[in-house]
Amino acid sequence: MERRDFLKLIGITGAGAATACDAKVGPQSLIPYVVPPDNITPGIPTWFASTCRECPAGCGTHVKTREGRVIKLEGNPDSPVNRGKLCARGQAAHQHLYDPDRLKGVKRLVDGDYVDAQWANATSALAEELRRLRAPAGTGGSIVLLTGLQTGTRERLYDEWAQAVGARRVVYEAFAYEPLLEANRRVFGESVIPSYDIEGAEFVISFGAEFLETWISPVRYAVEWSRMHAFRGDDAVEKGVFVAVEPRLSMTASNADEWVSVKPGTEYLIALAMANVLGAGGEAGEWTPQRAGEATGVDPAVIERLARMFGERRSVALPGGISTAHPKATAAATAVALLNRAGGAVGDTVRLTTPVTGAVEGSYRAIVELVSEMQTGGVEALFVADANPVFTLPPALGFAEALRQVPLRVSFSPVFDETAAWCHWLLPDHTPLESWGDWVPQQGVAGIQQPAMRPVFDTRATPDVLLDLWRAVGDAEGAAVAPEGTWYDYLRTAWTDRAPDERAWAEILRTGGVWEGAAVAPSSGQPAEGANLGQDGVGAAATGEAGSGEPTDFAPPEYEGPSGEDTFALVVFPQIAMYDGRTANRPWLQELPDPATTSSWHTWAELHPDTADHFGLADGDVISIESSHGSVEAPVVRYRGARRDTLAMPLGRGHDRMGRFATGRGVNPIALLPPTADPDSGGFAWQGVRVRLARTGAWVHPLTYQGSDSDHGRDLAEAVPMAEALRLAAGGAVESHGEQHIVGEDLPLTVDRVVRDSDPDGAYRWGMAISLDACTGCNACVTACSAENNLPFVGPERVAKSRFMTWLRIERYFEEKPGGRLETHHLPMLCQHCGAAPCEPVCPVYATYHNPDGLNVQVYNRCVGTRYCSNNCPYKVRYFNWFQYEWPEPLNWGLNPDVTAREKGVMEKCTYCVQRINAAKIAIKDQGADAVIPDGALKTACQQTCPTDAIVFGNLKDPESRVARLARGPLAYSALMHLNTRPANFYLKHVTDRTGIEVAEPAAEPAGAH
Amino acid sequence: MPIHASGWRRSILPILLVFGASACERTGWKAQIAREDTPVQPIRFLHSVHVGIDSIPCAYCHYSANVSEEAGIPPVGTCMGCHRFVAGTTDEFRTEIQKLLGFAADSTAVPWVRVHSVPAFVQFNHKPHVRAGVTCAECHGNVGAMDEVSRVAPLTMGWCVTCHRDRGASDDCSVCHY
Repeated sequence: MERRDFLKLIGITGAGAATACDAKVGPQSLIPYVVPPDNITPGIPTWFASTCRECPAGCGTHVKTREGRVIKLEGNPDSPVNRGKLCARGQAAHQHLYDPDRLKGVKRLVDGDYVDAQWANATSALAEELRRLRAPAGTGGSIVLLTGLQTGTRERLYDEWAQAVGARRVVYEAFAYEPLLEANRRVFGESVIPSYDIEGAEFVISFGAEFLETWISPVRYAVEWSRMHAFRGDDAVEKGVFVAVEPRLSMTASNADEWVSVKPGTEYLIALAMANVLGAGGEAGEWTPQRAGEATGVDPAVIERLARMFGERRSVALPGGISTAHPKATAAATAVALLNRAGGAVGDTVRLTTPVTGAVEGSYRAIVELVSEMQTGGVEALFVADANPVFTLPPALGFAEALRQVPLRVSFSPVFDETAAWCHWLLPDHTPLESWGDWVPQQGVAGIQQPAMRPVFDTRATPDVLLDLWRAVGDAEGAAVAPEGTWYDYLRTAWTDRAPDERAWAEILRTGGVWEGAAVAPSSGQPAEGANLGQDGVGAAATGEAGSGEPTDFAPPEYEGPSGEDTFALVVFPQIAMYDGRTANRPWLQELPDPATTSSWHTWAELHPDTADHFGLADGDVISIESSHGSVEAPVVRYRGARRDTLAMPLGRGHDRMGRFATGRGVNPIALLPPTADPDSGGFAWQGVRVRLARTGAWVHPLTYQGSDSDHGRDLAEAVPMAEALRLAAGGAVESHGEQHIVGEDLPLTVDRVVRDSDPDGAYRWGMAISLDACTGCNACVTACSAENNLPFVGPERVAKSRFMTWLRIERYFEEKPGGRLETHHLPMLCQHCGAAPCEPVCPVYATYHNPDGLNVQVYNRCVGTRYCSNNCPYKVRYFNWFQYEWPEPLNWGLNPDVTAREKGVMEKCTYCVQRINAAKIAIKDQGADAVIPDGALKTACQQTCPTDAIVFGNLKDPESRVARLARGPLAYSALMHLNTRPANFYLKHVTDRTGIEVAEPAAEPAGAH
Repeated sequence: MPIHASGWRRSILPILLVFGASACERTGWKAQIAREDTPVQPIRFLHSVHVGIDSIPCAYCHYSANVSEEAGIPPVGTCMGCHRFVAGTTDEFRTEIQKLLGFAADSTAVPWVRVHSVPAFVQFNHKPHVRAGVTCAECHGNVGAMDEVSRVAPLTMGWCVTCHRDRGASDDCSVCHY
């Protein structure tokens, strides 16, 4: 019997068996529209321009909908903020929309239980309360509207509403950057966050600012950083240098050419000493490199070298993140501002005239005052919107206890978070993808936010609720005149200037906003000559406050808490997926590996391997971490990017409310922190405590996927010094590659050879060029791939067994350079679509094969799940469905209908987004039967979102395509080339050892420290 | 022919032209193909009258077949374009048209029963087929001669691939399976 006949026979038997369960399947319905929506054609996506609201950066988005449902977000290429790119949080935004644990309607607390209520009843009941409580105009009153950071029209409505109903506004944002505002007020006379021109700089030095992860506007800065820094070999022009000064090797620091590891809290002394070298004078004059070196543990020669580079080049220094969030935070930010000033960056790369959104003045101070007012019964009603202070404030502050003193508590949160759990009324807001709104990410830039689909649940836009309340209360008192109409009308009226007629409004909705302030010439933010900056740190000329400010005390902060051999300075850091904890119930983000440690689903404690060895701790050993204010337990992750004298923990997990994916995952290290503020700015001190660790004896399976820090000499992630890269890019000869492994094959692998692995009569051979110099390891591509290709999340139990399903993963390797410098390589690893793919010949059912375009195709319906292919894949990029992974309703609404949702027992892997390839092929034929997809018209999901353009996909057969030019370039190599798999992915080497970066001595740390 | 319309629950399912197929279990796709060829529809809509006698072009109702993967099922509004004026010439017709008017009055969709479907792991797209000059009848049969639409083509992979090969279209797996 031939194979084909055998399969036919099996098929017939199978069909017979299948008919028996016909009743289970039942007839399918074909439900047409009653009235067809104007902008929907079945089967064709409809896109809406909007604004991402996952953090205060305000990136422009294009929201893809199919048949009225959001299925994907992409960056808006017109937006000057993110220029078409999104981060992992933005890519997962529709998992907020489809969060199965969202509040599904209005609820009221009755006798300790939440019961369903009606919107109309809620409004009238609350209006009655407001009427009773409202204060006479102008007296402040006992009603408080507590919100997160808002800009634009919503901010205006909140203010007007508060004034009209006699309420007071409190704005609280967990990451409020108050010290930056205060420092810039002192130094420049402007209480703003300036635009930092990273793209235009030649030398960028960051003092703890995680600007590629969470700081201010990470996508914007990642785009700018790659243009400043990434060397792809397509021209022979030297690129810029980036140095990170941090107590922990964050993802941002891992992309630096040099990581200057300093004692936590002392980072700014480096900036101060650099400013001193550059002639800043004043108080900085006391901080010589020698003195700063002693205080920080950094070689004074390094400080002098960095200062020289800063002075000689077009430079920018970035203050932020963990380094400006301790009891001396204002001094720290001031030091960096002084450095920018001394180095001539102000007005050039530091632009005070185009400030960016992201900071909230007096945020923490206001919440502390609110707590004491609530404790003394001064607050009768509290309305909370876009904030979760119970989670993001240290328990020692007593916010939750104080909250219980308030007689009426109302939450507008779309999810049942820790703050909502204390409220009497739950009035869930729409999620941003269902809402009207706008956002001003930078002065002169306004993004519009429009609903991309109808609300999933019975929720209402908070501004609409407030307007209703306003009208109800206003009528009774006859005081303020409430605006007529809905929140949309209010917003539309606010935009009248920019959109006088409906045509202009439609254009704004199409483009996503107005960007008139985007291209701003370098401003003169420089204070007038003669401003006295040294003596008192106050921008005298700009504010006229000369001499009024107290002198800045630059002595390093004291870390409080236990001391001794088993104690460490605690570093708590915002993590790229979790931000301040608001994204914790998005399963893709919970499962997203942390770029530094590749951990997911839990809160870990980072210890240097030497420290861990000293205490005999292995990965997964649970330790208790105790400060004077609380204690938590977390498993150890041994991380070479940790200092020996610190213990680092990520923020954002440890929720006890919010939903099935967030609740009970990890711990919240905020419990370890005292309610301490930086006295100058009032900003919360995220850093500043010491903790004692003790082993508990428990062990949990490490939830990390990176098995080893090293590629064990297999040259997976290759690097080349800048000087050599420049020589090669200028046409220099390539040195011999050494011994030839494969008889009859030319090494290194050429593009021409890879092209021959496709149909000679066809037009395409798809391939990729991935620049390791551009890749930051941010994992945005991973989430984009998940959204595009219906990748399931598998949960912590299966992550522990390495059964994660992300087709694309970022491998992270460390390389120790001479002198002890740690070089980090981020390597995006995905199916290589090999010309001689080891997976193909071992498949017994021909489920994987090479197609005429050179794709390595996986046919799900042929696959019988032998897993031979995965075993034979040297790159380990094939993923097996061990289970039928679930998409709890309505998470399944976000599935991409163009891609099969795989089922149990099937192998899957990267397809190069074959659904996009097929769609592009069909579309291009509109222009003629022989038309070929032009270069750049077709982008894979990972490529589309990559903020640094590290991934370039295209047709290798077209010699002029960008991918072919890069793949032919001097930096291209193939991973595991010696195996002769002939991969279609070319990697471009990481370029290290840039001019000015010398091989440094290992950072000296205090003797005896761990 | 007796008309069975009463057994239908008015479905309030959202528009699931594509998603509807994805819920089937592992053996489900074979069952889909083996299903009844001529299902009973909620309204006894006669293609023989609309296509055969009235000569309405297919794309008048199936409006997106030439631009999209979906052919498009006419909204109730499309039916009402004519049936606001056309009440039917026989009692039987009038009864059926009254059902339509009922759906229109209630603003509910007509829960048609799918006749042609392919399994969830097949990504079929109407547009390239229409553009290549494949007539509707080649796959759907001469519906102008059918009172109620029956599936005439087997819609099996062998049937698809035979035509692809005859016409010189791609027979690469990844054209349909991804």
